[in-house]
Amino acid sequence: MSAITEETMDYRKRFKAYYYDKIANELASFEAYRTPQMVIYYFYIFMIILTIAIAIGWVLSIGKTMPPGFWDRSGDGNFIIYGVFGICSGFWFLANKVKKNFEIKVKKGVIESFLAFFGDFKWMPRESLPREEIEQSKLIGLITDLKADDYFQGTHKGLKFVISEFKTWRGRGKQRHQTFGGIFVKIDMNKKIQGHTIVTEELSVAKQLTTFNKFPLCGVDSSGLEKVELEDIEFNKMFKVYSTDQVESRYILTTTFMERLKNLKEIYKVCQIKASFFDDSILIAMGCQRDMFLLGDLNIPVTDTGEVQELFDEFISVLSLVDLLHLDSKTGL
Amino acid sequence: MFGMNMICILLVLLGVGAFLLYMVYVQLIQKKNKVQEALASIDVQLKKRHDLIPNILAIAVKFMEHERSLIEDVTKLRTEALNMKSDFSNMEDKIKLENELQSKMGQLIVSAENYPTLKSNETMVQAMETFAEVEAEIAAARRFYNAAVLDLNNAVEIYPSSDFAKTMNITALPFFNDIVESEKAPIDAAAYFAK
Repeated sequence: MSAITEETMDYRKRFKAYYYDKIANELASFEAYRTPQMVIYYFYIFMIILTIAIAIGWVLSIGKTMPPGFWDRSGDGNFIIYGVFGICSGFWFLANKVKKNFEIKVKKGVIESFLAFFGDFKWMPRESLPREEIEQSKLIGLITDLKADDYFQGTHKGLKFVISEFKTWRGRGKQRHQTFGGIFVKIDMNKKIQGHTIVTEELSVAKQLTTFNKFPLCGVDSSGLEKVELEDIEFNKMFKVYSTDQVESRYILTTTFMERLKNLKEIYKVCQIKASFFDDSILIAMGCQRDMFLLGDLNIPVTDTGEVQELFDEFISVLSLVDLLHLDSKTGL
Repeated sequence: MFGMNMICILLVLLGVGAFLLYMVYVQLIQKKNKVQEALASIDVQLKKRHDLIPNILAIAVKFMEHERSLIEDVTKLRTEALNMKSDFSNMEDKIKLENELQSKMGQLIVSAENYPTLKSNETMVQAMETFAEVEAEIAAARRFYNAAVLDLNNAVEIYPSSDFAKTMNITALPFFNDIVESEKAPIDAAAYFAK
């Protein structure tokens, strides 16, 4: 996803110079560490394949001679299956741990230099916005489980900025389903907000049923909020608005701001977008179907600029929300 | 037996019909109350404007000696607006008056650009920013009012709720437009550049 503006292009040129000056050497120091980690990772993958191959080989050669009922649901053959599954899961867990540890090590080593380019941003792994705040936003309703990934905090163009990447689930056992996967962006508003207004995408039935959007049941929590019908017909087709205050919702959602939200959706097509305005800040939820801010892929040399380029593009796209929505200007909204 | 069934069916149909008519009546009342709520919201914002104007004028009068007549116009319109009651019967007059007041304040703010000392006065800058905020809030309240009036006017003009509206003496209301007659006149660019 990207929002290309002249400013972004300028940023890119400056970042390229900055990368070779400050980041490239730091990254290169991890290359020597990457190879043995990659060997360990593929060793575990090999063990998974080997385990499955041995199991299949055993079943094909000796498995047929087992007594009747061996392969039944309550038969002893189940232990073989569970055993194979358990061993493969164990190796899979170890492989992923190696991958994740490498990613965290590279990120820890390089992210400070990366973020220094953008100002005073800090990175906190495995942190997220407080669960209460996420629930208070009413964008994804109640949360049973939350798995935090990346968390960035800083200021951009004079505004306090938080980017929190996480996944949430609701329910237990068979009722458990994922309700969100993506990023929440919290930015200080340039207007005072006393009430609570939420803007959510209007999903067509077709979109809800396709795999493109995995969270058809994850609507906003509109309890205690009134539906707001605005004048822009196109906007009303794309978004639904709920608010505690009909006047304040129109104060926030001026005709200009509605245009900007429509443009935002055009740019971030692949993400489901929702926004919540409360406590003098705006919380934008972007439900994207992929892990963001990745750095340190075991399979790619760390000196390859592609990964850092993608990280830069993702970060700058999120920061450009301030420009897209004119949140830095007093009369912006 | 057939007769009993027919009577039952008729009663059910009558009941459904009566219920539907009742719903039409209820919706009409709800729409009217919504407009009342919207009107009250506008009044809250207009009061903020009326309260802010004297502060701006108090500062402006010290610097803008050549705009005395404009300042007097604003003062007069503000007093009239304060004395005007807010209800459905005088909506058109109220809207016209507030639009005139907004237009005059707009002219005053534009004229303030010609007075550098006034423009840089911190209190004035703060007052102008607050005024801009208040105008934005009035615009939002106006949009809410117009949305509520649109709903009500549709109900008043479309059958069958129009019959109920006539019986209950509910009439269509004017929209709160933000354009005054004087602003509709075409702008003479040459006149501006000649200044």
